[in-house]
Amino acid sequence: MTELALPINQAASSPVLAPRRRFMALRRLAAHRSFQIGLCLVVLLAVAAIFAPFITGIDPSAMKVRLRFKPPSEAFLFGSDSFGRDVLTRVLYGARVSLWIGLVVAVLSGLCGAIIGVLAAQFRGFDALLMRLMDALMSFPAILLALGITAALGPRMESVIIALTVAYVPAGARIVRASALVVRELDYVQAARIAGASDLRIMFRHILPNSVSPLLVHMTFVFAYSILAEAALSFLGVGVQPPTASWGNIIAEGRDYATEAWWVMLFPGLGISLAALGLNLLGDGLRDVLDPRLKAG
Amino acid sequence: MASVKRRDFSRGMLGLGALFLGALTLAPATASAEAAPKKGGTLIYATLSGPGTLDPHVSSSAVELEVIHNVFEGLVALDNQNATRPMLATKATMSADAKTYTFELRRGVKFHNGDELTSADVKASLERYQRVSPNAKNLADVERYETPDPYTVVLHLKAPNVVLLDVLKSPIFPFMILPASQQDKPARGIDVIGTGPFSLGEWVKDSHLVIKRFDGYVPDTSAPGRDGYAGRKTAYLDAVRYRFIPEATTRIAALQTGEVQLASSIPTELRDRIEQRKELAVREVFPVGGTYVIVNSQYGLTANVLMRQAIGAAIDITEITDATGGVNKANPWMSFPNTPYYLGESAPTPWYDVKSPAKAKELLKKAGYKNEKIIIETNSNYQWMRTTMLVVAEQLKRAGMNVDVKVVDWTTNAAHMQQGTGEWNLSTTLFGPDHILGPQQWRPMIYAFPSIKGNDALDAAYQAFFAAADLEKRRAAWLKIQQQVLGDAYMIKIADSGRLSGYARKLMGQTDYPGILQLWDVWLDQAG
Amino acid sequence: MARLTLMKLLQAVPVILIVSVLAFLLMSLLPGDPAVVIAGDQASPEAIEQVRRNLGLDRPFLEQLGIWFLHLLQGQFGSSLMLNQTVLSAMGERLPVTLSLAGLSIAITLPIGIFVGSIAAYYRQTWVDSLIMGVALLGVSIPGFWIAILSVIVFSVILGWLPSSGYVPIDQSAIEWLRAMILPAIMLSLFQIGFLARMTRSAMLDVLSQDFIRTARSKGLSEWTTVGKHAFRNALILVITTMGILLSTALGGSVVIEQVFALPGVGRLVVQGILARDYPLVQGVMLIYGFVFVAINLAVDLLYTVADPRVRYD
Repeated sequence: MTELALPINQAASSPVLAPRRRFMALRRLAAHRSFQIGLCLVVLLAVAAIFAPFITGIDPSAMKVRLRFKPPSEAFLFGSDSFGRDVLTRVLYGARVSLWIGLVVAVLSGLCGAIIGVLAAQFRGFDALLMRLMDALMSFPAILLALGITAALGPRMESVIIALTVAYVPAGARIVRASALVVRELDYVQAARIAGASDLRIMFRHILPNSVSPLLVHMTFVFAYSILAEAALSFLGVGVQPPTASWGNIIAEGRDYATEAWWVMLFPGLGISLAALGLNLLGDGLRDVLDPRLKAG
Repeated sequence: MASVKRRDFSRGMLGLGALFLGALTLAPATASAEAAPKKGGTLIYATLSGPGTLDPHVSSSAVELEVIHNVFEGLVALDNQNATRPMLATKATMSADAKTYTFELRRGVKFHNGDELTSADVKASLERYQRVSPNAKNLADVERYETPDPYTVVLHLKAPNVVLLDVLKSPIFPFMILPASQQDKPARGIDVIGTGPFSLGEWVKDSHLVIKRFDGYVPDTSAPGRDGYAGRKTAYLDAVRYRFIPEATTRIAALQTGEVQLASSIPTELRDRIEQRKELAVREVFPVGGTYVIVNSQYGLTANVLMRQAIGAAIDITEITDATGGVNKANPWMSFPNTPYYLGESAPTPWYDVKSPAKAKELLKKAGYKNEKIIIETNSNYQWMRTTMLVVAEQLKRAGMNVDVKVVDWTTNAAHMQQGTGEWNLSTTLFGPDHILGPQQWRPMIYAFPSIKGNDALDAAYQAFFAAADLEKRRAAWLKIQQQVLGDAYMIKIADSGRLSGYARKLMGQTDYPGILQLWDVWLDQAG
Repeated sequence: MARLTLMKLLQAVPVILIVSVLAFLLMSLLPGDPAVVIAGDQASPEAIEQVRRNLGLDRPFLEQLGIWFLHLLQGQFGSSLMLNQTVLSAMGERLPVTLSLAGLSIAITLPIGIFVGSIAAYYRQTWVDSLIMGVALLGVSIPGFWIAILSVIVFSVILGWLPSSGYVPIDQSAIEWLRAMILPAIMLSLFQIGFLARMTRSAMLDVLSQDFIRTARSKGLSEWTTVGKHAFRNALILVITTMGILLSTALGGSVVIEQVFALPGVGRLVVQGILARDYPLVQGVMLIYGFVFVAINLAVDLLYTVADPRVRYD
């Protein structure tokens, strides 16, 4: 790892961080206000989602049809829905599905983006082809592309994940490629190449680790967008299907009763908003710290 | 029924199963008896979605039919009592051997393009129907058409058929008469020209559709007034504008703001919101159809009659109808009350609304059930169907069954039921309203949906039905049929159901008849 | 310049080819036999065979692809099954609605987004900045259809200020058009304003930290004049670079907004097509949108090189 300690070219807006600077970055992150708020929100929601069974102890699909549309009360903290199911329980279990989709899409699209981006940067012959492919994918509005893919694959959670991943890969690939192009010209990478390091080694040891920061920032935003997109797909009827609860389909199921039983639609909507808000704050914090060029003046 | 949520299908979505959703008519406004009808005005009607086509020969979905029945007319139609009444024909006679039908046409009837209706148009329309309609097999018996003069059409059949008129009055895939010029037009490719009291005006897909009063309309003066889909029709409204608003919240908002005077498919929970306003009212359209759980008798566990009965025993009807909302009335029979084939108070099956997990468990034990998966298939398009199956799933779980809910799209779901394909044990549908016509219309659905094969008792009962000369014997056969279908739990009846529509009180002259939206003989009372 | 334009144009060619192939592949994603799906549940085996022949599904894959391209070259983007209409004419009917919505929304977004973003940058790290950025963040975090449904309840049902739904063509009545479109357009702008304000702020911070501003300050020039001058050029570049994304999110977001407000636009056409399994329609619309965005992105690239002297290609 010694070569990482080599001085880096600040002007090239390189995302490369030396270990010491990484440590400092962590400290600065810890002190970053929006990062703090975002982290709190995300951790809180994640904990609520993970420990959902311990928090409510109710089966999310258990129905008490005679107790339908009860407003929030001691018995039903968030009220009950059209089946007399506990909205709080469903929102908690919905968090599991929605956050899971967001996380998986962020990670998968980040990984694919990283691979494509590095390949494009490293093997210049591939570059034109791969990047034109990414351009083509980016030519479709993301939600439309996702809509088309989920419609073809059938309304299931896996389809939503695949569709959103495909929709968000190109942006990640572009970001990685851009920073990889900078990194590969750096002295120490050139030095490694001259020293006879293989393409693979250069890719995985040098270029990829040093392109991670902007990708990480991007993935945080993709996480947020995916949660919003899942909700939109559910609203249009091609998202995660009941009885599995997702934030999107709880809203979709409750929307006809918005004027009478506002609580069914309100709480999952707040869940989505808070999660997206938290992730965006987190992303802002990461970007400010990891990408010095965009740091607030 | 909670209604066809926010979307409908334009493609001929329903086979003989004719899930007929969203039918709608107008309330009997008590005050309207005294108020004199007024000509003029445009009624704006908020419905779920727009028609995909206005080609009557391929239309089975409610949003299409509620336009088509105001624009087109057939030879015969359903009257208020659900009997056959001539519409474009003045007389229909069946020969003694039931192999020849002679129709005499009403004279002077004009198409919207000004041409007069003749026998050539009738022949061309029926021939086109045979070519393009998914329901064409109902005319398979026709050997040839004969048009001895412009006002006479003769149908020669290959085999006797006593129920041909019952077939021709069907409101779904209606046998509407088009100008002869449309004969070679492909399915969904006609020019919209009919003989009805309204003609098509502007049609902007996914936005709105306008029908205008056809001033050249020639009413059937043999009747004193309107009568079901037939009788003497008078158009008072200048025009009707159908607006397609998929979201219930938005649809009701439009009613409340006065942007529309009539709105279909109101969720039960929102009823109060409308009735709070003194200028608005809600009416029940009932019955629209009967809702059923369909049990696939050719797939997996449910091939076993004990399993099917166990499922029946676990079901609690009230829970289902509470959750779906809408207008629901418990009825263990497959015919509506006040129809000729309704057989009375007691139930044809011991499995109706048993709601006993204990009884179900007992049957499961007898069936040798070992916690295998029972697959429920439903769809993402119709919320009430999904709601029904989700509640059923919970009820089966309570009875100790291992249930998996699969959601597919409606096209797949319907095809699976109609063709007996796919991997599923339970699904749901709504039958109606054409089965009010009788057990003969029920037959294809009874056999197809639950995939009934090799039930000799059922086959024998149907044979007896068709052989029976008098109604009492046919009713006895119908009892046996229902005992098989419901008793062996091929289908599990849920309820007779209807839906709610909201309207502005100034909309007058609405009829009780629970059919498809009829816009003749209604008017807007501007003062009210 | 000419060389650059030529190069960009040449680059767009493979993109268009790939877009076409992707749209073609969408059909082959369909589980099972697309002909069965397309022919519908009442189709006879002969009808299914007919569909298969009509769509050329009985031919080898590469030949199908070839035919697909041949049709595209002839300007045939396919025909909708449910509408009995070509995709082009169906889109032509609905495009005015979607363009009205997207156009109005962008017209709302641009001034507001850039203005509040600049203000936030100028008052960086004060309460003004925090407030603006907080609101902008909400804009990109709240699900559009959710807030849109709530807005119908508030503005149409409770307040009764605006119609709840529907579309009036602008040539019929400009005022009614605006009344019908304003709420949907604002709902669509919420995300965009948030997005643009955030972009503007970072871009402006970039400018504010640059040497020439510091120089100007040290020369005692009024900060406002300097910032204003540079802000303008900066805003122009920002508008150009974000236009593609704004248009893309506007057209994407309109799918959902059109559904809520019952607007007969392209978005609803696609949703109806998907629900009715009208795959040729969905395919055609995606293809056309794909082409349009290739063109938009190309235009953005070219404009960008004109507007920003720093960009030079080797």
